[in-house]
Amino acid sequence: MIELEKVTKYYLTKLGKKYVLRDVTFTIPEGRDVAILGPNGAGKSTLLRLLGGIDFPNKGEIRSNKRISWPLALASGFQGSMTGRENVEFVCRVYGNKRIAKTCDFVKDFSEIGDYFELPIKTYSSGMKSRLAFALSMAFDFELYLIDEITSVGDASFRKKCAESMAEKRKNANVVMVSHDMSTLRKQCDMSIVLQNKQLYLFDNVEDGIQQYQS
Amino acid sequence: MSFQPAEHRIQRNPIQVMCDVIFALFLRELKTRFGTYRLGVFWALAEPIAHVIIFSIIFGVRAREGFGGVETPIFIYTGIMPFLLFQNLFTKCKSACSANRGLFHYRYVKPINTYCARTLLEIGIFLFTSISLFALFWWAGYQVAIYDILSCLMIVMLLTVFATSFGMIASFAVEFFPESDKFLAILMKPMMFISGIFFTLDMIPEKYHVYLIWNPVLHAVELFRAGFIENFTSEHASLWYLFCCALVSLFIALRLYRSHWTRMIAT
Repeated sequence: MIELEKVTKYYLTKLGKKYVLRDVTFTIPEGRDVAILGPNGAGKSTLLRLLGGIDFPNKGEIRSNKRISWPLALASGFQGSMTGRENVEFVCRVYGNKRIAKTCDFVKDFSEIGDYFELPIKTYSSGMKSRLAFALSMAFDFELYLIDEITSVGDASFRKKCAESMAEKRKNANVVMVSHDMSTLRKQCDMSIVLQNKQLYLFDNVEDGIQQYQS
Repeated sequence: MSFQPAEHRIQRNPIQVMCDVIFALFLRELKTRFGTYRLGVFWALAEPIAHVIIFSIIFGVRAREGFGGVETPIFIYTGIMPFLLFQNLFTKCKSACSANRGLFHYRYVKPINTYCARTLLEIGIFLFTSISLFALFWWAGYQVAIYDILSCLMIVMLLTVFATSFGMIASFAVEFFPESDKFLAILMKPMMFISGIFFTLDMIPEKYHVYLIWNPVLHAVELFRAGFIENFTSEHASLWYLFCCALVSLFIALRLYRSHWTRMIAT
């Protein structure tokens, strides 16, 4: 369960405050898989970052008792000057995972990036980065996964592997998902949030949310 | 697949989390600092050695019998070590957050941890280089002996607090007004020449003291020498002033941090 209470989030820009959320109060109930819908630039990724505790509201409060993953996004989450292995080791240490060598082996195997695992992240292609990011998140047990478009990368076989391992995780974990691919959302989620006009609209199923979003 | 995901259900209290994160950041800093160069840790020694040699050549010619009761290289050594500690701590803490921004993607990594990790690493480098140079001097046949090691350590601690806090304040200044980076660079340029590395305050005529004595690093250098060299006394350096500078800057740094730390994470 995640509770948002009177959350306001804005960014300071040259043109003044740009609001993403304005005085939003709602609760994501226990055990639901949530699709987040909204036009580009509405702040879907920001909402994920807020839920993940790596960005903070300007006013209000976000409460949760879950172990929430970092947002699995395409671009971010790695320090470019460090190698893949160093990044994985770093995350293990930060999350208190003592079995660093085993986790590294697993991530190297799963991501199928081979020798690149020992090279700095800045030499990776964006596909390799997202493979590594996904593999890394599969090495940890979270109760809630925040997924930002990442399932739509990689080739067919890798995508299949991701789907299988995600399905395994989903037995005791939920997801909050941002995607522009409606069929993925229909398949993976059972409720939806539409982000419009700095407000959040909750729908008890995905279909109603998609209709609201597309109307 | 036989791999069992990490059982990080083990409850860690906030202190343990912080220690884990600082340790992880420390190792990362260590690797990026020394791992990428072929000679690695040698470069940490090269900087103070180069300073000692250059300044000894420039100033040793004029005063063959040395300053302050010791031979010139030792005198330079006792000045350059605390100064480099200050300079490195300041610049590293100033950029601590911007250099680690990608890692704030993991919720346990907070800006304060990056400052802590960098400070620890700088203290480690300081101790390593100081001891190595000390051994080198001894090996080269110089008369080296620390007169009052506790007083030296205290000065190092105070200077560390001051430099880290000053660096933190600077990092916030740069975050709020990016222009201040240029201003700070200009401000730091003359520091090496006014911090008493190759002179003591007592060599300067009293009427010029007013231009130098505001500088806490000068006090730290003088006091460090007074602790290190047996017959060296500093008439004007004030431990009380250094202490106040450290305390006030620490207060300002923590105050700024408490109200604005989220700004450091935001992208």
